[in-house]
Amino acid sequence: MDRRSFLVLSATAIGLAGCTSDSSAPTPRPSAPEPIPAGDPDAGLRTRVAASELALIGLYRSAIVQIPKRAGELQRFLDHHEAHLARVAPDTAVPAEASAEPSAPTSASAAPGPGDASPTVTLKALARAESAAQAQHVVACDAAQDAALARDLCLMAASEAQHAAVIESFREKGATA
Amino acid sequence: MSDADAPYLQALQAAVAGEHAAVWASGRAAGELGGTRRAQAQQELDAHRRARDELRSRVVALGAEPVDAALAYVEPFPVDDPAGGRRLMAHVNAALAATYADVAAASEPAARREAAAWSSEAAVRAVGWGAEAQAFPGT
Repeated sequence: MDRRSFLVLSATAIGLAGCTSDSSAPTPRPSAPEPIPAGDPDAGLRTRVAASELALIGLYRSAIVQIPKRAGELQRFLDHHEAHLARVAPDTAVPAEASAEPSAPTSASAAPGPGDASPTVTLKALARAESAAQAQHVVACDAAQDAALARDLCLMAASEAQHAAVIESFREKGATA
Repeated sequence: MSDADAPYLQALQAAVAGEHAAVWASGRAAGELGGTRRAQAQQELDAHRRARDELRSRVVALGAEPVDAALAYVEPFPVDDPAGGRRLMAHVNAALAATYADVAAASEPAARREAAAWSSEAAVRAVGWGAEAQAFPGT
């Protein structure tokens, strides 16, 4: 028998994402961002996460200007951070241009900024900022009272871990290769 | 098991099923890969077996019967060359990132870090196999 013809449809087929879209899944993901409700026990946490996302957005805007050959990839990652911000704090406005400094110190804003550094140094700073954000968002996931928010924070941390890994691979290949 | 454990158990069972699928996928992909990539897929196969067994033990500790592997799996796209093997590994790991996020969400606050770490690890493996980074991996 041909191998492919032997394969039969299975409810637990490899499309694992289906496991999470079942209506009986433990934590339905929100279909659209909603304003932070008054009395939200996670309000402070959302504010801190928003600050870290704004700081990362600022770092990426600077990096895109500094490393135009990586602009496509860096813009995609910046878009991811804007999506993160929209999910956890949809009422937070993103400053129109580069200076997106948060009001509170965060792991990302504490990282060395791109400034006039070389592309290699800039990418190292971005990777460190992403790793710091990943760790911060795992902690936030752990602390969240709302399970759906915890899920979002967990996936944001996973996204940031991916960014850090990809940026490290840029560095290994040569920053502007 | 209390009613409060039900969402957590459900998420754990989904993770057991996901790791069963990842064991299958790793073996399937290894068959199409060569050299260091083949060795990497075989190492992942062992890691997914260990993860599956750990999750199964947690299901048993809750007084439930862990889900079995499927009798067979559907390839989500053709897996008949090294590119297909890499794509399968990327696909299964991205899916696991979301599955472990469900486990984290179904856990009590202050008990989520382990599952969150597993989610990030799976997401990084996915990009290592060629997946695009995502804003919300596996979703």
